[in-house]
Amino acid sequence: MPSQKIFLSILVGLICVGLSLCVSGWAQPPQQQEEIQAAKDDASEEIKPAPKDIKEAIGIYVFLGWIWISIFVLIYILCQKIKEADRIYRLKFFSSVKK
Amino acid sequence: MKNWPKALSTWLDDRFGLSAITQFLKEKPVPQHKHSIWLYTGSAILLFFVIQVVTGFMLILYYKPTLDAANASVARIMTEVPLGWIIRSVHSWSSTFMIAFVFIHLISIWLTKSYRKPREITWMSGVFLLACSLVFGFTGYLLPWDDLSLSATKVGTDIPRSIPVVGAWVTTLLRGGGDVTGDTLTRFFGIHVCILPIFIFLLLAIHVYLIQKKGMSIPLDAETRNEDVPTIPFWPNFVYREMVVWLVLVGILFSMAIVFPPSLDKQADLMAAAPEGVKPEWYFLFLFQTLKIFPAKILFVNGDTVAVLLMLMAGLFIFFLPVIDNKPTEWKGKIITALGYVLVVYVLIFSVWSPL
Amino acid sequence: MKLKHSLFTRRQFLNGLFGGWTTALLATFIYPVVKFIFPPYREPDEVILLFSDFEGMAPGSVKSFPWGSKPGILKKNDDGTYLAFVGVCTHLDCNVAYLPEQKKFFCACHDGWYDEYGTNTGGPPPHPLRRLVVEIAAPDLIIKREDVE
Repeated sequence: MPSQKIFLSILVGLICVGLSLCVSGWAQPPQQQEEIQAAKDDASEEIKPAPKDIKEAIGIYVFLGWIWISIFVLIYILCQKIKEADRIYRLKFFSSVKK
Repeated sequence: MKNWPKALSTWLDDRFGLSAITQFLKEKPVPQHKHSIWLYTGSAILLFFVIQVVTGFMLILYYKPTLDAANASVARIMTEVPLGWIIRSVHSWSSTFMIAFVFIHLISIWLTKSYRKPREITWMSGVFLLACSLVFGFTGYLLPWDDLSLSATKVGTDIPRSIPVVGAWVTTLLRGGGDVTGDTLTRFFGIHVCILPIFIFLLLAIHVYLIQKKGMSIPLDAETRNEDVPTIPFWPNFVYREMVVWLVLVGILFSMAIVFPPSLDKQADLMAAAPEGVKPEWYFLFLFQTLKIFPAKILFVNGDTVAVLLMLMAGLFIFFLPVIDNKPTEWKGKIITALGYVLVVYVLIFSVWSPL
Repeated sequence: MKLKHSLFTRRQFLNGLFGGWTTALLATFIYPVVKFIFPPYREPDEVILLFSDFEGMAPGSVKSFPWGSKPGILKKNDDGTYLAFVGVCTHLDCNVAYLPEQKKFFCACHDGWYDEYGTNTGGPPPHPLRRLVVEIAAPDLIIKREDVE
C-alpha cells in the first residue's frame, strides 16, 4: 500500500527533522547568547534581528521545517490531482467537442 | 439538514449570482504551449501582493510615521513585539520578490509580444502597476528612517530636479518642501499606505478584468499560422498548477525572511554627513548606475538632464509599446523583440556593475 | 487503495488529506500573526519610587505614580500610614479622581463612588478599587501587587 508507506515515511521524516532541529538548537545556546549579547551591546548603532531566545529559535526552525514538509506533501497531492483533472478533461474533450 | 452547506450556497447564489463567475472560470481556457511557464508570473505577483497587504496591515499597528518616533518604532517592532522581526523581514523580502516578478512578467510579455491587439490596454495598465510597485518600494525604503534610507531618498527625490521647467517643482512636491524632512516621511507614509493602495487596487481590477475579458494570448507564430493551441480549463487544472508554484514561492520567501532578515541602522540625522555606500534598493540600481556614468556636461546641456530625459522617453516607449509595435511579424516587430533582449542585458549588467 | 473493504476511494482520501493539510498549514501562518497583533501585556510586579518624593504629603492627601501604563494612587491616611490603589474604576476602566473634601474617590464616566478606603459605595462600580501593597524601605518606597511576595 503505497499511501501507507508514504504516510509512514512522512511521519518518520517529520520526527527526524524535528529532533535534529531540536538537537542543533540545543547545541548552540552559548553562541546564541553571545550573539544576543553582542546585539545588545551595539544596539545604539544597528539592530540585528534575531530570535529572542532559544525557545523562539527552535520554534522558528521547526516552523520552517514544517512548512517545507507541508509543501512537498501538498505538491505531491496536487500532482495527483492535476493528473486526474487533466484525464477527466481529456475524456470530456474527446467525447463531446471533437470536430 | 445534512446538506446545509449546499443549501446555503444556493441561497447565496440566488442573491449574488456568483455561479456565473465559477462557470466562467471552469470554462476559461488556458493555452498550453512552450511559453506557458510565463503565465505563472502573474499569479506569483498576486501572491506576493497579498502577502504585502497582510504584513503591511500588521506593521502599521506598531509603526509611527514621525521624525522622532519612526526609527524607534521599527526598532520596537524588531525587538519587543513578538515575532516582529520576522513580519518586517517577510514584508521586506516579499517586496523584493514581488518587484522581481513584476520585471520578469513585463519582459516575458514583451518578448512573447502578448501585448498585441487587442491587449494594448492590459499592457498599459500593467506599466502603471509597475510604476506603482516601484513607488511602493521607493516610499517604503524611507519609512525605517535610518541613515541609509534618508540618503537614498535625498538622492532619489533630487533626480527629477534635472527635468527642465517642472523638475524643481516635482522635487518640492515629493519632499514636501525644499529638503527631505519629517514632512517627507509623513508624505511618503501617506503615499505608501493610503494613496498607492487605492490606485493599485483600481489598476489591478482593470488589469485582471481585461485579462479575463480578452483571454490568454497564444504565441505569435501559432496565431499567424492559425494553429489550434491545446488548452486546459482555468479551474481546476490551471489553478492546481498555480498552487504548486505558490507553495514553492511561499517556502522560499519564508526561508529567506527567516535566514536573512534586514537589519536597522541608527536613526537618521538630518544634519549628519551621508554614510558610505549609499545605494537604493536593488531594483533601482541600474538607473542609479546609468546616472553615474553620464558626464557632467554633454555639449551645453547638463548630463543628468539628458539621462533623466532619456529615462522618461524610455518609460513612454515602454508604455506605448503595443501601439508602436503594430506589425509584430514584420521587421519592426523583430527589432522590438531584440530591444527587449537588449533591455534585459542592460539592466543585468548595470545592476551588477553598480555595487562593484 | 486496494483494501478489501475500502471506506473511501483514493480520490476522497487524497482530497481529505489535501484539505486537512492545507488547513493545518494555513493555521501555522495564523499563529505568528496572532502572536504579533496581541503583544503580551505584563502588569509590573512592583514599582520602586523615591520615598523622599512622598514623605512630605499632607495627611489625607493623594499623589499619583505610574503603575505600568495605569495611574497608581498613593494616599496618606490621617494616622500617617499609606494606602495604594490602582486608580482605575472597576466599572469600565476610567481613571478615578480623589475628592479630599468629601474623602471619596469619584469616577466621572458613569458617576461611580468609592470611600476613602477604596470600597465601592455608590453608582455602577461592582468591586472596590484594587489595592496595592506599600512597603517603606528608605530611601525607597516599594509598591507591589498584592499577590507578589
